[in-house]
Amino acid sequence: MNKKILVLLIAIVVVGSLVFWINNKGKVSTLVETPKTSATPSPFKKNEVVVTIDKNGFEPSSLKIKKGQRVVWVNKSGNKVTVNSNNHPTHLIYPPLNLGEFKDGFSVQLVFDKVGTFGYHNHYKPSQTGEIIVE
Amino acid sequence: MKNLLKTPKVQMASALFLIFLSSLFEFKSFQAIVAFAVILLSTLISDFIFLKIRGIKLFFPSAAIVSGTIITLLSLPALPLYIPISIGILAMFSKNFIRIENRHIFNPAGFGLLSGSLIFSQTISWWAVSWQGKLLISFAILLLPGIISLIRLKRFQIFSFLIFYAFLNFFLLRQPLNGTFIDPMLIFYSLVMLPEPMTTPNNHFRQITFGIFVAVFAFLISSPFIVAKLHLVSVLDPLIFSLLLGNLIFFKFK
Repeated sequence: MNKKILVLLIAIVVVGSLVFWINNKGKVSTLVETPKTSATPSPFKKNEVVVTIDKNGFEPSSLKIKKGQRVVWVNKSGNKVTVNSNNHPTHLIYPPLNLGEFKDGFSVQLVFDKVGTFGYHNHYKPSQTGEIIVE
Repeated sequence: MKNLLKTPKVQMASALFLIFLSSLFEFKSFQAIVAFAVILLSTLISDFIFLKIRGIKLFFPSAAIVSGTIITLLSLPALPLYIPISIGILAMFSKNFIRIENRHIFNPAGFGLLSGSLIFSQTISWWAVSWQGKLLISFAILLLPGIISLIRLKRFQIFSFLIFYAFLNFFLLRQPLNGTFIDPMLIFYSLVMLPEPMTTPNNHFRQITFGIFVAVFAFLISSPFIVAKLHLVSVLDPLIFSLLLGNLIFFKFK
């Protein structure tokens, strides 16, 4: 039995390494580092709307935009956060909103090309929620 | 003592504790350690009291330890302590009193978590397992419960859940297969929550059917096809709800 457990543990490590390597292979980062100083010109374009994430959550938590506009989420919370589609924890209602984890000082973005109301949340603190209303 | 360490429940509790420890490397939270201690005390004491009420001879509380650890991994540490304490009590209540023919119906940790989320309007956070895929060592630790549940307890057919759920996501929502198969939360759910031996079928065919049922139901109540139409309560966790519904429906088909 001890030998079997040892073999299994080795198999777990090997399989886990393979999965880890496949998962991280060729990952294209969509993260954008946002300049921290206010002296630089705003990096955000005209057709972009910004949502800030701080320690309390998303601000503004509800946002109305036009179809085709880009929303940029900027992390100023001091921690890693995520933007994920509702419902927690399966995130299937609007999968393009599964923008994943990003660190403090970074941002993620999405162009909304469909009309509707799209709820999202921070997967690490699912009580932090927001919605984008696209008209 | 040696015999105790060889039991599946104690080994599962040890694996879950390792997952908790690895999560502390990412979320360096003293609150989490306090929450763990408080939740564990809550499940142990309430299980002890409920067993006394039932007139059952006391035994090593491995089930209460497993349930308490699962509740710790899935409940946000920042919650006011009365919430996880209540969840622990609800879990042990379901284990001791929601029974038919001397067998409890629902996964105790799942019951406690879901009823707690509905009573206190708090989403089940899955905080400790959400990030476990980022480092190789943490991912390997996440897989440890699989040795116990799938191989030792011979519950590997329940892995049909993950396969079916992944393909539903792929064919109906165009989600990449690898994203579902290596989602740490879904792996934890498949290896720890689903195969709980007292509340799932023993028969291999029924295990497959159980896994598929939970996959289909969890997908349906998570997906855009159904959610908007049903106006489901926003804190209702689709995975835990599907698990408990599966426990109820398959209770007769052990």
